[in-house]
Amino acid sequence: MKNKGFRSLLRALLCLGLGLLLGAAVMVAAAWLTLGEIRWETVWQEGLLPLCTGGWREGPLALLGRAAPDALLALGISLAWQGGMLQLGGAGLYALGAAAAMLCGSLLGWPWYACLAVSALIGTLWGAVPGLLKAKLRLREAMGTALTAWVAIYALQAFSSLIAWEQPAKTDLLIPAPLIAVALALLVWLGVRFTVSGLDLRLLGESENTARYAGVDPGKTAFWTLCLSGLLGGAAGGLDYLLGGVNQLPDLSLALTGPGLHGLAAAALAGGRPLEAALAAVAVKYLSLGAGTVNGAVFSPEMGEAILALILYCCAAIALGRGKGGRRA
Amino acid sequence: MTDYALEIEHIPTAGNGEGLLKARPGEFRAALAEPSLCALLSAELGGFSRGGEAEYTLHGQPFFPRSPRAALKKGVAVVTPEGALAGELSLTDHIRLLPGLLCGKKKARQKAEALCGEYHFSADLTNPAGNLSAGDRYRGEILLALLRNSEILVLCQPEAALTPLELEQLAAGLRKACQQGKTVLLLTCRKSAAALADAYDALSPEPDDTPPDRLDIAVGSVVLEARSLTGGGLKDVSFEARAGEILAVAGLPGSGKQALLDALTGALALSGGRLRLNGREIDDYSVRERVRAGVACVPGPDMDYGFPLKNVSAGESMALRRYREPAFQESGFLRKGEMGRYAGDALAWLNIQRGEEGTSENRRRCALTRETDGNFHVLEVLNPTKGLSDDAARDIWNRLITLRDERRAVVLFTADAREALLAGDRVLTLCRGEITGEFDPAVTTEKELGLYMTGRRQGGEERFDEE
Amino acid sequence: MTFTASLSLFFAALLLGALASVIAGRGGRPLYALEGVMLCGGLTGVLLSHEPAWISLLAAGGAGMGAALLWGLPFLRRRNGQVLAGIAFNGFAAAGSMIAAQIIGGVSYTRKGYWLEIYGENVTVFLPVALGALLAVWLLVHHSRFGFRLRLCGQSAAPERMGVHVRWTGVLCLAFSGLLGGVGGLSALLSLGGGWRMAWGAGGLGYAAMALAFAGKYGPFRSLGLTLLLSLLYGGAAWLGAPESALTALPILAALMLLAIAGRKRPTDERMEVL
Repeated sequence: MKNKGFRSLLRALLCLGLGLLLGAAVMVAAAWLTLGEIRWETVWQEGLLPLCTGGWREGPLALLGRAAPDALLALGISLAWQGGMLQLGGAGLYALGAAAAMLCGSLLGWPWYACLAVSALIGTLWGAVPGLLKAKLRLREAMGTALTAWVAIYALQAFSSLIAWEQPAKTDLLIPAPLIAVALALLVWLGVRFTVSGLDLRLLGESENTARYAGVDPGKTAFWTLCLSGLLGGAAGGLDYLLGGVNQLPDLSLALTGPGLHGLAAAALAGGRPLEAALAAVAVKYLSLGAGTVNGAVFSPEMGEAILALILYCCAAIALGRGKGGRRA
Repeated sequence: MTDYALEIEHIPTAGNGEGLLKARPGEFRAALAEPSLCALLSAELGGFSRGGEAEYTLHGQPFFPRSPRAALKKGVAVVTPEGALAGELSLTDHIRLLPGLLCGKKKARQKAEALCGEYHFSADLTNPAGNLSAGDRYRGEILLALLRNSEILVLCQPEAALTPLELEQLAAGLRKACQQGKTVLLLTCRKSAAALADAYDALSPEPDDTPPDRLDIAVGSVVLEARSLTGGGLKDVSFEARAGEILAVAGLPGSGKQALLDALTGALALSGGRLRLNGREIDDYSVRERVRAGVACVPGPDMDYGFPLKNVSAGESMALRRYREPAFQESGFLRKGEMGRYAGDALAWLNIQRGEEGTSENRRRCALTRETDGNFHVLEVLNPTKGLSDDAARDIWNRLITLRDERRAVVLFTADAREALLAGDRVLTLCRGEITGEFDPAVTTEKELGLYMTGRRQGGEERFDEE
Repeated sequence: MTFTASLSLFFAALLLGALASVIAGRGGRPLYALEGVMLCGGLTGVLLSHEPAWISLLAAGGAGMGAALLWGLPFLRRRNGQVLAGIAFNGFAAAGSMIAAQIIGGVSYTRKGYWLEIYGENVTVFLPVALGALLAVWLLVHHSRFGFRLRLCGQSAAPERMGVHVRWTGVLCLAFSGLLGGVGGLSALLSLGGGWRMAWGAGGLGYAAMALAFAGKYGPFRSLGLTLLLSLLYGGAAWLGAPESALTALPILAALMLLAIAGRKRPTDERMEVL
């Protein structure tokens, strides 16, 4: 097949399948080590089957709603990706956004949209830090975003003893959430594909020299892109809190696994294309919801994270690695 | 056993022909071929690519190396102008890596110096390879091949890294190596280089060394005036480009051509100097403002001539330098249809089929069209014919000459002395960020130009400023 | 733990991690998976912490080696995707160690066996190990044929043309850096406070160490200098009685600043930094 879109879809499916296959192997090993023998029926009935179908348990509406935050994060990451930058600080943005929404919603009693706006604002500000470092000091964004994420999460952890975590007031956002995500995905797609700034960004993604030659200021473009990426990441955290998906003040367990990893996996599956990234986020959420329904006595609840990490690894090793034309990532 | 050390049959030459190349042991043989063919042969001989039509025979045995290491093991060493040295390591360090030469720094140096003396090579053994000139690196790789006791040396396009005089000296050394039983195969696209060997085969038509035709017009007023440009590796560069002339700036790789081009287009901020376009100061202009003021530029092959086609459509690529103008955007939104139409027209005019925009020749033609469509005063081009066949190169030169005849100023940055002499009306030489001389191509030879490209200065002594 | 004891553990962890990054970086493969490598090595070492110290050290090194190879084997011939694979590997290591912990049924460990007494002060065995590793890395990178090969692979456009076996050099590069990273991971896990959980990885020390090596432009002694500076900061903060969460966050914040100040990207570094 010569069609480019079809090929990238096939590649994404291949990565997904391969990741699942490796994950299944991990599950078999875990079951074997826990039970002392391989019981295929247990592995299938209590492990793989719930993993692959558990996402449907609450219905498609709930799935879409819960996937919305991941989709926002994936959008933020793929926006930076379009500019040839790796946004590795998704976890930090998400954590800050969630904490900000909690503070505004539960302590100050603000309505949900105000909370979301504050989350986005905090995310923007935090995203600006690596952006500034890149623009002014030419520090690699991969390093900058990864380290600022750790700093953010550590800072939140430091406050954990001071803040009592509260669940959000009951507002049913399951329907508006996917709509917000879809609207933002369309906005990002339109922006990247059809606006002058979007072309600036894509030229930066080709190479810094190309951008400079076309009259684009690489530093400025990178800065604003990372800010916008932060906005989406912060909004993702806020939205997830408002949906009731965050049960405690974000702590270090977010740093290596969790939403940051999910967002990256979705963006990598989509090859950094915004619309596809939002779609891939649904698949990722489906798996992670499914992983919550496996038998906890045999399989650790972390199985889902392991599988998503494997999928991301497969993406990096297979989809991105082809030939010289691949991305720097 | 055959009499030949190396035989290459069924070489795919231009026009669907087949070529043949044979070299006896101890022979210094050359082949005159187009750049793409040189690259192909050296890649296949060096084990970098396989599956071509050519068939290789080494001492009567079929030879299809699976990897560069396999080729080296069979005694075939390939040297290309791109180079394979590590920038941080000195030549001595590289020598210490050679198999069978487990030795300390001192001994490695002694061995290398002995060999240099034997073949009258000059090589810088102590400085990191990244600081060496392209010619030094090329010679260094030959030295490594000799120290490795490779029996067959394949030199690909030495003229891209060495000046004619350096090449002559090298050839003398290589001839000596041949007398001691080495076989040398020189793949080149220059007749003067091929003639240095004992014998040469012409795999492509011999390049024509007559300058392309041009109108005899009077040179106009100064369009671009550069005064004491400093920074980014440039040292006090001053020159003038006039309407109706092609000013060629010849400099070897690493001499500062790219920096100078970037400085003129505004992509590189300088620490000192003045730049005027038609009498107007443009130092403070951004890239975009310079485009608007009339500075057109075709960057070199390292940037694919500014014609990226990965995540950017052909239309957007075609409007790369002007997509902020009202013709291509409306309140921040791209007029994609307009761009597509524009690109379609341009491609149709160039007679390029859809899907063929990406070939290296078409990229240049597209980039040249993009830059010269519209109102501009000065055009800067960098290595526009690198890697092209002679015919295609002449095409590009003729385009440049047409522009010159239309009384525009053209600044041609090139690493190729021959190109500078054939296409230029006036030639400047650039070495280590400094202008070393100004020449009239009608009365200058390539060899002479080469001297100044490697550091001699007009009206001064030859400079030996190492460090 | 006494003040000097925890400081020496912290210093050794950071230095070993930075040295692992130095080797990997010189070979052209930035070790974004260091956090995961340290976690794998550290966890293995911690599980064997009741055994004699040298056994757990060896086990940690071996596990780190395995982890690094697991991360890097698909990338022996190309560089695209290394960073994302590193992040993925970190995630997998964190999740995987939690899965392992559930299977084993909890991890209990001791810090008892890892001490030496020098001038009446309790100093960890990791300190001499780290300093020895520093010397070894310096010799390896700058004064051995393997080091030349490694740097050739990291810098040359076509290392194979120089007769270097790229894959084999890559494997050795991964193995060495994994070894150091694993031992450093053990030291890191021992230095982190009692509240540590497996999901935290090496608490960001891997990232901090990588940033240090990066800021030191992959020079072993420059990395040592930066590590000393950071340890001094850490020690000072601890001495002044900074709260524990601030103390653990400090290395990362400081590494970020050091990187911003010292590790500015120069145009000439381009090749070295290709991800």
